[in-house]
Amino acid sequence: MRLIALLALLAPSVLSGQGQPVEVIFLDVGQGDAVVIKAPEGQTALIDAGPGVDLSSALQSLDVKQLDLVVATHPHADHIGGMWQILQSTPVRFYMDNGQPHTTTTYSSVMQTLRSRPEITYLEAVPRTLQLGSVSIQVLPLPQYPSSNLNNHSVGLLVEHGEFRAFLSGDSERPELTHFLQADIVPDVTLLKAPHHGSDDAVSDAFLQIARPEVVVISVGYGNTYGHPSPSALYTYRRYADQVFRTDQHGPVTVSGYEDGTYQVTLGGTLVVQPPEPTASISISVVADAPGNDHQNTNGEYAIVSNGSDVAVDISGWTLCDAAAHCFSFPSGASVPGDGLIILYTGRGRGDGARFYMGSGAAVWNNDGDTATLRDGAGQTVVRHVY
Amino acid sequence: MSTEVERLVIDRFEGTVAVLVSDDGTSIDVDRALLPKGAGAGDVLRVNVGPQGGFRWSEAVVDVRATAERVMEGEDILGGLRKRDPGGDVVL
Repeated sequence: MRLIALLALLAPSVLSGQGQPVEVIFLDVGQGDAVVIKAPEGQTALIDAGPGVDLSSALQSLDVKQLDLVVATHPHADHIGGMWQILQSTPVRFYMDNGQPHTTTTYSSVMQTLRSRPEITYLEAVPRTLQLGSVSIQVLPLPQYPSSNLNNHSVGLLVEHGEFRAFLSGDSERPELTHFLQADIVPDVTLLKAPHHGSDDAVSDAFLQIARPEVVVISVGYGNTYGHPSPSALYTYRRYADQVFRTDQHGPVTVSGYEDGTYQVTLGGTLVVQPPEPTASISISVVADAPGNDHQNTNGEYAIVSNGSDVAVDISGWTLCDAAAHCFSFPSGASVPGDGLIILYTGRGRGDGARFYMGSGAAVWNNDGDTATLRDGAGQTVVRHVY
Repeated sequence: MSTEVERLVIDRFEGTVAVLVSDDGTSIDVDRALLPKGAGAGDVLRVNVGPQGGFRWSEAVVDVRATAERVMEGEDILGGLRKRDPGGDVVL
């Protein structure tokens, strides 16, 4: 587990807040969202549950033994992938979602669990106030008509503790942000969770001119293949906010908000769910053009996975795929030695720990361009090589 | 020899990438252009798997019936859950 010295960043006007703060904690879950809210009085809420990582250790680190409220902003896998496990491992009192069904088994398993657990009170995402100790959470009105893009039907929440305000709205893209503006429900906020992991389609100057966040936090996975956050989004957030943090670079981000509107940001700690460092130096190269006919010389083409650090990286259960999803799953015990490499040949052969074979009878890597994607056992992209 | 068929759901689109989720929860990123014409988010796909384990995207089809059944199951459960809602503001 990565250890980062706690770093407290104080806003210029803040030396000490009044009373006990609400803590808004952005967990480092890779490419997805999971945000814990802790009221000064001890009540807790979880907004989304990440892309399928086990959050239980992070919750234990935060001394969260029960969740008074769980919100699934929308049912995409990068927001509810870890929800089933949360429902199994942690007592949950209230559960809210956007009321839009989805067709994945990830969603279905969550819903079937909720149905079988009558002690969990379901709450519709309609305009209402949820009181979490001295923290009030306003549920914002959803757009009237569901969108085929569930991002634009994300549950919007305004978290208020005195003068401190945080705005969280899942993966809202510009259409939903515009809806919030037109409903005249966007206040001047202290903290903004960048919607949709800092994508281009979720940045709105009109929204930011009204919200005027002092701090923006982007929950995003290291090396994700979607281009999140986009450079233009980062540029825009930095124009409006005093500070912009990213979970892929800063690890978990905790914003402590005081009733007088002041705040404190804490980076790092031991809350990292998915440490990126051990894999950060992994790279891929591909030799696609085999001598002669590629299909008749399948071991003439191969991918090389290199490790630029001096620590071996365990790749048991990791997958390496081309753009057409021809994938190889590395067996248990596979590892890339420190300052070393392994080679994955396309054809058949007997692996020896340094050489692996996909077992394909035909060429896989396109000579005129392809994408090699290495994912870890949780399905998170570690590195992508485009040629 | 029978062809193995895998069911994959289009969880969402991220730009030109379609994020598919298999029934065991695994996420797979695929070029959106490889999907059947007209396939949208939430559609259940039936995809043939080749002998080397690769997906044959050109043979993929939308399983309309499975898609509708899963939507109906979700609606049904949501309908039951909504009856638990006490309504109004809530002190947690």
